[in-house]
Amino acid sequence: MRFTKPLWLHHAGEKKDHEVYSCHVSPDGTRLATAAGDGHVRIWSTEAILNASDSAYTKPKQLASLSYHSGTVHSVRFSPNGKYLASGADDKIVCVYNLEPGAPAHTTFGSKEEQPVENWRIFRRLIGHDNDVQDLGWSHDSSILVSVGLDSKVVVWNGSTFEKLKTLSQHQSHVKGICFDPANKYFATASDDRSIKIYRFTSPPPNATAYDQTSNFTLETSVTAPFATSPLTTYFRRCSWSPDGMHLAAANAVNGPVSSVAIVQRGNWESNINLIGHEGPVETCAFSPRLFSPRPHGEQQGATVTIVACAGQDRTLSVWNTTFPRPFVTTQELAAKSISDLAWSPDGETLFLTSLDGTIAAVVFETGELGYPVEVGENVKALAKFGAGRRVGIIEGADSLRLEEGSKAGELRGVEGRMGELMGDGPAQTGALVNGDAETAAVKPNGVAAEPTLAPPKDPAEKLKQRVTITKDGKKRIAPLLVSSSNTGEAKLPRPQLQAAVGAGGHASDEAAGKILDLSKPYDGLPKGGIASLLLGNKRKYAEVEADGEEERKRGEKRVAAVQATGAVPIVHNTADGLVPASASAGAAEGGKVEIPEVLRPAVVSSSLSVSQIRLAVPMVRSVILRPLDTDHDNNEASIVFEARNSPPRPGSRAQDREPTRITLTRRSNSPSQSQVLWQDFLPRPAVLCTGNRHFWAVACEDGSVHTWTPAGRRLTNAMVLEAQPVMLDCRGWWLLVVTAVGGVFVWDMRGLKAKFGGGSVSLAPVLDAASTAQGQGHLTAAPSLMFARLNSQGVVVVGMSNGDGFCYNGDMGIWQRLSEGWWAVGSQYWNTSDTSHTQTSTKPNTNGNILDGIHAENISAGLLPYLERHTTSHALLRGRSFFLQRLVKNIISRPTEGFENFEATVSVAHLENRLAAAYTLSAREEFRVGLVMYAKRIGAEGLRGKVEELLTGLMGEGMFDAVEDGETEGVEWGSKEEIVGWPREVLLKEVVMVLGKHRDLQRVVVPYARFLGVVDAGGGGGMVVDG
Amino acid sequence: MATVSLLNVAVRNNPAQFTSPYEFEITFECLEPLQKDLEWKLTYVGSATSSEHDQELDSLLVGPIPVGVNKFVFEADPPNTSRIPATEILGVTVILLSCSYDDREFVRVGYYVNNEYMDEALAAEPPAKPVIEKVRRNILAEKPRVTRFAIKWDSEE
Repeated sequence: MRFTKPLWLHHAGEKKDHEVYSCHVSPDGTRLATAAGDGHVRIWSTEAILNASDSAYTKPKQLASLSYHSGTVHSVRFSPNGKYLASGADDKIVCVYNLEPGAPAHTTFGSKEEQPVENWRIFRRLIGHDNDVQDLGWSHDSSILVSVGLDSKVVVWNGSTFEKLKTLSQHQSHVKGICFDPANKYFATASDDRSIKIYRFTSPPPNATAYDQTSNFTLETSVTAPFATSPLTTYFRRCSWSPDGMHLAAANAVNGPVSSVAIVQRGNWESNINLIGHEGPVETCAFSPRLFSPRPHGEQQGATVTIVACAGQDRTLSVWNTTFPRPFVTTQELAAKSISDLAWSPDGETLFLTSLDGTIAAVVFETGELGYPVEVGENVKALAKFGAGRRVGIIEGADSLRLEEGSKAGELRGVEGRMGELMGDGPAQTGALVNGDAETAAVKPNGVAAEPTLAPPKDPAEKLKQRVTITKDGKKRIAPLLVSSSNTGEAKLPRPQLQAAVGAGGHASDEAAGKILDLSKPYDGLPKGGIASLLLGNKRKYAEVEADGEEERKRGEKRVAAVQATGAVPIVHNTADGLVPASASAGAAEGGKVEIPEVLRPAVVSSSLSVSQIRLAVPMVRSVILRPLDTDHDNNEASIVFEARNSPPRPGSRAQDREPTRITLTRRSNSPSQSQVLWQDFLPRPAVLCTGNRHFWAVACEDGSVHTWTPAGRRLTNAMVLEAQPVMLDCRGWWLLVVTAVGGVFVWDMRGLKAKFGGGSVSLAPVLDAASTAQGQGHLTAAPSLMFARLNSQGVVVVGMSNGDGFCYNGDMGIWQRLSEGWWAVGSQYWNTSDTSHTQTSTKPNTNGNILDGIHAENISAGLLPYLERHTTSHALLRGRSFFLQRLVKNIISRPTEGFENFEATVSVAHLENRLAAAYTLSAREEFRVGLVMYAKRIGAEGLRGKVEELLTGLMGEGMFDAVEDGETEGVEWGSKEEIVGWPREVLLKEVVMVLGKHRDLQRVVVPYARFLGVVDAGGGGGMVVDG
Repeated sequence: MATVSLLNVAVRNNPAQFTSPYEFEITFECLEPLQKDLEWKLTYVGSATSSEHDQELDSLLVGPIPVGVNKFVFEADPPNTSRIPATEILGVTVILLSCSYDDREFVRVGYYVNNEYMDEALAAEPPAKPVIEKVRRNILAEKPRVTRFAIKWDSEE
């Protein structure tokens, strides 16, 4: 054993060296990173350290110095794939650095630092802790980075995008250590709450986001036994996992009154072994990354052993070997203050240590001193029994394997397709863009990322073009010259959102989506803020009881009020004159005869009943109402305009004595002289609204009559007389929609001359929130305004309210259904109305000119759901109408209280289900499929086995079900026909099965369906893959 | 960590006449988008004994600042000699180049400046009233003293 402590290996301070808190060796063993109280992370050449005594050695010693923290750096760790270096400091920030090619450009200006040799650059700053970051750990496949801190939080970061995946707040006190299971299944965090918590995880894919990782990183167990009285005075509790995955060494444990290192057994998490001997609490322990054999390589090898080094406040280093009950080495002379960190080089025979006295030293063991390291392959073998190198879950058959491969291949194709789209070329050129790294390379040619070299311009005297402007307060201002957009920002690796934005750009966002919107054109004359509405309450006045005069009546009311004050509902009789207290004299006077109320209004207005509880604002009578025929794009041609011209009231005469209203249809061309009147008609009443399309024209008059004409000007029907003035008139295809001032909604099929709804009309009352506001109020109350009421090509009425809710009338069920509301907007993770992913129809931009309104079978309700959700966004979120709900939900999400832990996930799934149901109701073909896939992905990721099973059964339908297994179908399914919303059942089922196929824990459910569909080649059926 | 780090300051005209303007070519790196401008300030320390002779030579707002490495030239007028005690003009003094964000100073660069006569006769026997035109200014550009201060940036709110 040789001990090396070069003089130059320190973080130099003014008077004494800065205390060093952490060290780590890069996975290739060539670099040592150290972190100290001067806020610097320094990277050293390990070769230089080990050759410090050799005066002939002239290669660089310090490779780089990174000063991006504003406080003491507590932890520094290389990623096992060698790409990144992460450091955490008491400025609450985690910095991630990467090694850029090319020579380093500069030292920190004005410092006495040596010129760096390697171009380490800051790559990301991760903000997520509320207090000092105390320790860091990378998973062994580098897929995640986990930081722990004094804020008691454990934060999981994506190892590729460095997006925050999850914050775990289960620890009750400072978290001071983290280590990863080499089998990639667990990580352990050690805290001052005197526990080590073991978290189970599955490695997320490089493009993982916080959304799909909600069910990952779950607490497996909490180990508390060895820490019952452990002191809270240590800086760290750096634990370590043995390279064979069998044991976890926990620092700062106690065994009775003496401090120890507890060895926790994997699986049962018991700690029967204690390493005793340290006189002070142990700050850190580290397993050598290799397994050792007592005999040299080639000879008969016995059982392999592991080596663990421990050190702490007693300034002693001890090195233990699992076969001996005593330490192999103890030494007290290495440092003058407590030892803060230990790091083994990858060969397993060199140990680096750091101390708070500023010491950075290396301990080199001679070959054979620790034993003989066995090949790395042995580690893999040892770990294999814990399932390292593959995801959790067991493939249960060849079919499952094929299904999984198929599912992954599908995903890969998706990624490639997207990348091709991004790059603006065919998918052929974007060969193997699988993971995040490749994406980087692919995006660079776009010119987003600049050249990494930062060489200063050759000629410093080069005249910079800059123009001085003077600001308002008289100061000079110039814009700097951008020399290079640095390698730090987003340019490096586009975030997922960024990609989504690029994709959306190609689709010209909302406008393009609007083109295939299957809705009638908005009514032009709608007032700003929508049509105001008022509700009349159900509450009835108390009857005037005349018998005993004023006092008697008051007494009755008082009694009722007293009953109400106790919270009870007073018993009253609903008489023709009004409400009468149950035992009031009026009732008694009639000799106890049971009174049958003559008038009863239901509390909730049935949509087919009387509607007079509502008043909608009636539009003004305008002198001219114009309605051009919607033409596609032939603006140059003559346009056809429908015009209703009301005559002004003649002075001196009564208001209703007007001249007749003139209705004309004109063909207008560019020059007014060539305008041609196609036909003309006259109406006795002023027109209020008009509409029309290729099929018919309609005018609604002030007196509530609706007149219709054919395109040639024949009267199509007799005047249709409404119960009240019309407030809205709209048409689409052969459907004509009228909304009256009392909330009646009429939809007629003008071809068949039939009403869409059985009772003639349906009431808007339920939509106006009548159920909750109208109760118990005897006066008029304002209800949400009607923002739009439009038709789709099936004659389905879609209504948007000013509170953001969106409804449609389900004719089959005879009820209004709420398709969109603010609740989803604030609670669901899938609320993203600018995202075009669920509006993109893969095919056919609607170019068929022959059908003008774009009514296609496959376009039914296209774009309707996104339209409603955008409406909700603009009213509920942007205008802040659901401010309180938003705040409430934010509160719940940010600090989950008891019983609300899964709030966001649950609401999100519910939102997807709601979307799916809406698409089904509206027969929106494309939305249904996209929604279904999105839903399948989510419930797959959440592992909701029950829902998956039900979804698959539902998709399968009864007809196909017998083919799979002879169980009985239960639960809800979509219809009984061969098709669901225009898609063959098989197509949908196949898509869902492919999405779910990669989740091993669900394969038992999914595989029978896959087998039925022939997704997996049925050939090899029986062969089981015995795994692990 | 500082969002803006100073990478280099090059003194463009050095040595120069006492009366010629100061020119600094400043290179800095910005790591995150900033909402406000950076304010750069050059201060001439007129007297070693008291701060009342300090002169703010110029201040300059720099913005908008793209993320990345940026550079600009900061030009500042020479000090007003009438505000400097005659005895203090010659000899070694200090100029301070400082930068602040939202009125919070985060970096300060100090340079020693030596003012002396160019011709030896004057240097040997300086007149009582300094001949400003003949004074040469030499900024000790290779020995800057940089002080950095941790301040609150946009992202740390």
